[in-house]
Amino acid sequence: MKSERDVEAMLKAASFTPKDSLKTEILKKAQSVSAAPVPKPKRAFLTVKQLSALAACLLLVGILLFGGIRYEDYGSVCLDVNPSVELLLNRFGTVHTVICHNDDAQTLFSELALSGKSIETALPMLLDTLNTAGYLHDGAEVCLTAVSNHTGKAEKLLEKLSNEAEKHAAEKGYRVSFSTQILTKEEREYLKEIGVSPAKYRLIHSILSLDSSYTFDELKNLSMKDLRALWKELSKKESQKS
Amino acid sequence: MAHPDNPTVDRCLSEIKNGSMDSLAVLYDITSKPLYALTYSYFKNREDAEDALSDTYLKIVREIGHFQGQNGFNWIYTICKNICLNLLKRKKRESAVDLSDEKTVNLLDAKDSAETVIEDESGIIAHAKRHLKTHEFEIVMLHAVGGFLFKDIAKLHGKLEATVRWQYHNAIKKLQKLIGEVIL
Repeated sequence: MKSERDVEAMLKAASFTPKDSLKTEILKKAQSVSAAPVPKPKRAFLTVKQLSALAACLLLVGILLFGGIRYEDYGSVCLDVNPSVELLLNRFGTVHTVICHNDDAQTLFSELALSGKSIETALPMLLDTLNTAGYLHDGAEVCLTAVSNHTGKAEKLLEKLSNEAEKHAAEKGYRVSFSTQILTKEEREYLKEIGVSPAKYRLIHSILSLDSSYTFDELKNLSMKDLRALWKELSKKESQKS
Repeated sequence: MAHPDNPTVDRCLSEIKNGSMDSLAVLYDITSKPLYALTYSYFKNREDAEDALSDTYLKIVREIGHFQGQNGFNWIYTICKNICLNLLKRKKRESAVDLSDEKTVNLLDAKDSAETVIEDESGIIAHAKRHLKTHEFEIVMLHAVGGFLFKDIAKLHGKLEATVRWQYHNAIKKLQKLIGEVIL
């Protein structure tokens, strides 16, 4: 069976260009085309009635937005160290379900009462539990993933969470670094289907950005340890180039 | 194939703005393959794809006054995409389906014959066209054939780069499986 690389090579090698005469035809037609004049922008003057209507709309939008901010629908937040846990959030940003994706997470977090707590409260609790169990050692990386189809809101949440996580870790003296990523709900479902954690997916994606000669399928079969070693090696080569 | 870098395209467009048709020829040489990949991904036949490509370059000349001086390739990509969408709408309104006028390149038909080999390089594209979803075919054409980088495809489509990569890999896996089902 042909590999993915073979298929890609076949596509890249496909002799796929427009007919030879097209260039000549276009250049000939272009001789008789003249550039359209760029119209000057008109200055818009609003009447008092229009201004009042606009102000009313802006006020309504402001009320809706302010109300809306309190009812954001984020999806979920995943936290991966080796224990892998996912917190499903309701539209108020409160944890309503905790899903432990492996035995380590089940052991650590099953007794932790996170439901009903805000994600900002739940995250430090998770970090403290991880530290007590010895997972937050020198060189440990915690991967925070926001799962949402609303990219803008997910970015804001992730920024807020990573700042708070770093602040909490610094206050408690945890020697840990944080990485972040955003996934759509579709991507999250796909990863669950193929049994790849968000942290592993992030690491694979980082490797592919440095060296696209690898394929996703090759890398997904490697352990996290091997993936980290590969990523370090490729990053070193990349920094030596620059 | 390297993605045409924006400074080169910007330079060509600026020269076209100053009236240089030689620069239009250069622009065609460096941008026609990725743009053709894009038009083909929409129309899935050479004739319409070439018409759309031709209209794109003529519109570039007509609208050159609107070019701001940077991000030239993004600008012409947008022109091309809008032309494709408008042509598609027009075709839907105008035509009934006429199978005798089928323009699809159809070198191989794995559905009709279980004993067909995909070795002809044009056949792989016909195969992709037949079996991939529209957005998968577009991403495969843009990246594998047209040389677009994932991050550029993501930016142009308003998607995350990770999503584009995942859809691409899914599409390649589908093709791999389909090719594997064709018997020698």
